[in-house]
Amino acid sequence: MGNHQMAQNMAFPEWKCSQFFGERVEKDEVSDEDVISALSFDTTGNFLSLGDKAGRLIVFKNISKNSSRPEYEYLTELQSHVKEFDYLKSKEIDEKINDIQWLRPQGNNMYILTTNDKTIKLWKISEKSIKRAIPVKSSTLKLPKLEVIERGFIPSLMEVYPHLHDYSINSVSVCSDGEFFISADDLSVNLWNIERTNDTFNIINLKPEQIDELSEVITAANFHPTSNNLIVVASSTGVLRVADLRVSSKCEKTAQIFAEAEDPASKNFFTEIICSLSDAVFSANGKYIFARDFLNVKVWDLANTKSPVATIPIFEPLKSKLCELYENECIFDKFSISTSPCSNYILTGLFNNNFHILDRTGDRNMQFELNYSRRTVVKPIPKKFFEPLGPSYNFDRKILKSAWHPTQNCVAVACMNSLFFYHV
Amino acid sequence: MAEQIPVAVLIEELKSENIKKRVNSVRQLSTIAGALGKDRTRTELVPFLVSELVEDEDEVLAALADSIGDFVDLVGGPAYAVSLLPVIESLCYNEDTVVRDKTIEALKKILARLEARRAEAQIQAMVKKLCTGESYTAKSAATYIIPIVYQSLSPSAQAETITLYGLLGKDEVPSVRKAASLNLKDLLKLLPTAPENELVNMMKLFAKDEQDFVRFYLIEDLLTFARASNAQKQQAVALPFLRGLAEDPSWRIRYGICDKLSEIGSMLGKDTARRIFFPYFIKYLQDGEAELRNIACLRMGKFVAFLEVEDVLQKIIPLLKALSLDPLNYVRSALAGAFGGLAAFIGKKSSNDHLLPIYLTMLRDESPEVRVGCLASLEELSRVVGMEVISQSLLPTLVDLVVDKSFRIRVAACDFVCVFAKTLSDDEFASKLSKFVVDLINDRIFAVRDAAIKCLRNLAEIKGSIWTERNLLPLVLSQQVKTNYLHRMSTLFGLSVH
Repeated sequence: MGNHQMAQNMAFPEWKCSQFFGERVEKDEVSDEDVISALSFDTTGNFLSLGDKAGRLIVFKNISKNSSRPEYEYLTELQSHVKEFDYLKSKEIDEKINDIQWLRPQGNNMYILTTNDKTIKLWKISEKSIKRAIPVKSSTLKLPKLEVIERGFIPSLMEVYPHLHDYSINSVSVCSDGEFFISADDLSVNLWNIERTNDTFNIINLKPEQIDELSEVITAANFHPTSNNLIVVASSTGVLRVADLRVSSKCEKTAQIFAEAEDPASKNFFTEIICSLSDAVFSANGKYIFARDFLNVKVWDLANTKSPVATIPIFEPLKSKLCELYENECIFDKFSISTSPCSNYILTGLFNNNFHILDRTGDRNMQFELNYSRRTVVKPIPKKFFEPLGPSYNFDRKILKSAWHPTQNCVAVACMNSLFFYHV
Repeated sequence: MAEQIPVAVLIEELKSENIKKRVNSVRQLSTIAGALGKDRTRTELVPFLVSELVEDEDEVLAALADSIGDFVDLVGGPAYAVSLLPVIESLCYNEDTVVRDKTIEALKKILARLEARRAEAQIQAMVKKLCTGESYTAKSAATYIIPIVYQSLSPSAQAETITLYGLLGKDEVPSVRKAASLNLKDLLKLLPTAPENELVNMMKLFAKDEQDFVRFYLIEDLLTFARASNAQKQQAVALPFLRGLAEDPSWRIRYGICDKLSEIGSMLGKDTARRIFFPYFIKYLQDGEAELRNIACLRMGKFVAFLEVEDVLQKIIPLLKALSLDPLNYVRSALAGAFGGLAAFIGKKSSNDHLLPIYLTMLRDESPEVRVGCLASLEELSRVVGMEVISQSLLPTLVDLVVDKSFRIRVAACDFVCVFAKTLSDDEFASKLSKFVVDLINDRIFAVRDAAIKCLRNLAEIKGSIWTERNLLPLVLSQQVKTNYLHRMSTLFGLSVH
């Protein structure tokens, strides 16, 4: 029985909305600062972190005693990045958090990597008792007696990985061995040792000799979930590169290229823009790559570099809106993509309060609609689906960031300044 | 002399809100301990340190680790040194590497004063606790500690400790396995006291580990093992591992092996080096990864000592042409630096026939880095083939280097002026090169002027005082009248050389 048939026979799990944080407000009332710009579960799934445009890092904790259904509660927050001024280029550096990654926790300590456009920081949040010495007047020497004032979460900045990227950093990804991480900007991918902030090693550099010849930028980079030597790099031309750090120190020439041959017949004005990959991840089992361009999800098998095993249109009616999307610039929005722990399902967001969970073969595609009344609104999208998208189709309410729990069927989805959880 | 802060204030500041004050107090812990007296230090201060300070910032903990190593007398002498172990243990849970390194140093100091047999139970208990908890930093710290305490333990305790170490080598957290591999060499240094079979089994495990750095540290472990073993064991045990690593798919491991080829050769003997590792060396010279070609060239000079002249002529020489055209500067530069050692090995005629043509081409390489690399082997090469052949090509090269845009190249050029001085006759030198010396002394960059002055000193030594007086002194004195103050300062430096 092939993979395909097995998937069909399995019933699509039933998802329900379990929690949400946020209120229904008009777009104009949403403070730009509060817009969620990064989202990540930790390695155990017990914690979730958010980053917003104001440079804040917010942590939620799973407080549910029920091991099969997590329930999240706000835990603590810290100001991760602040606005800075780059004196050499006379430009402001935005404090918006672009990506967050967790490191392995230890004891009561959480370790989180955050990055804005230029600087990566490693934060440690420890649960500590804050104590104060009781003042005592004594003629003999006495050691201070301490009283506990409160127990709280104390953040401390462990490392700052300074300004070693020429362009804006779009992603960070931690190696499975916990010793290294990569950071990617528009034209290069750098490898860092977590303990060393003085230098980084450049492993991929796509900068052309003449900057006018620029035709391709990097949009995302991620480590393999278990192999500490493989990374996937997504580009704006729709090409995926998988680099093996063991083969060579510089990987531009030795990386495997996953690219489909272009079909000149189907090219139109928008093709170049919509083939840009906004995100790419390895599946949880490390056998596939899930990549998202503007209209489709592509599933690649690591063994086949010539064509994807599946190209799944996410929501075909969107094709009819390409002109409008170009005019309001939403055609350049970058949506993230996530894998389920079983590697059979894919999560990605869309406009109009919608997000999708698709199965890897493309047979089932479920569209969910967020709402503030905890109802679960879901409908299956069959192949070759069409429906006219009226003027009420809301391009502002977009779900750019979403994440799947590392071990359970629970997803977190962010829309503007609100956060929603769905579970099976 | 700063005010003596009353001890009471120091104590109070141990828990100050201001981190600088806390660090200051912790640095003066010995003063506090002295004031409290031995008993109170043992019964009050040390427990206070364990319960209250170990949650503090890394800076404070580093200062604590520094201080605690000297506490043995302050708690009442060697009989009571054991009471300090809980502080060490708590410090091991910290993830900062500076704190950990200082903690290990402190532990070494304490162990040196401890009465080992009596303290065995506590040491054993501490090690066990660190190895079997949840904390991966504690486990990593344990791999540093076990080799240090091993010899103070009784045989049964030693056996248990080795078992614990073995478990750490299989831990699911990669950084623990890395620490286990890194520190295995310290356990291997304790052979034959340490059980050989267990340690060899651990090396077998590490050789198959997924993580590159676990296998990487194995190279040093194997060298330590080989040093402690007889020839037969080296061949039977160390050699197969080293061969496996020499062929590792990860270029970083192959790099590590290539880096240590000379050590491997000295350890295992010329015959093994030639028969088994020479073919790998040839492969590395042609490896697809530039870093590997680079390290192979850098190590070539030393490694040829293990070969026969025939080997070099037949296998290495043919590769030199291709390497001299390698696309990367630093590889070509490393190759250029290897010519000295090669020439000395193969002798005048072969050097003339095979090395010289390539060397002369590389002297005109477009990259200044490569040309500097050539000059590095100049002395040795000229000793073998004689200077005359080279000097004609050298002079134009030197001329270019002295005016190169990059100051580092100009600094290197200063050094070579001296090499020339040794080989050219006095008159030749005076006419051709003294002008360069003047230019370099007047260079814009201080580092270059500094190197030029040092060059003057060398020249004075080489050429003798009469020559110096006749040729150099006028040059230096003429600097006096130059307008730029920096130039006049150079004059002063120059004079100080005499």
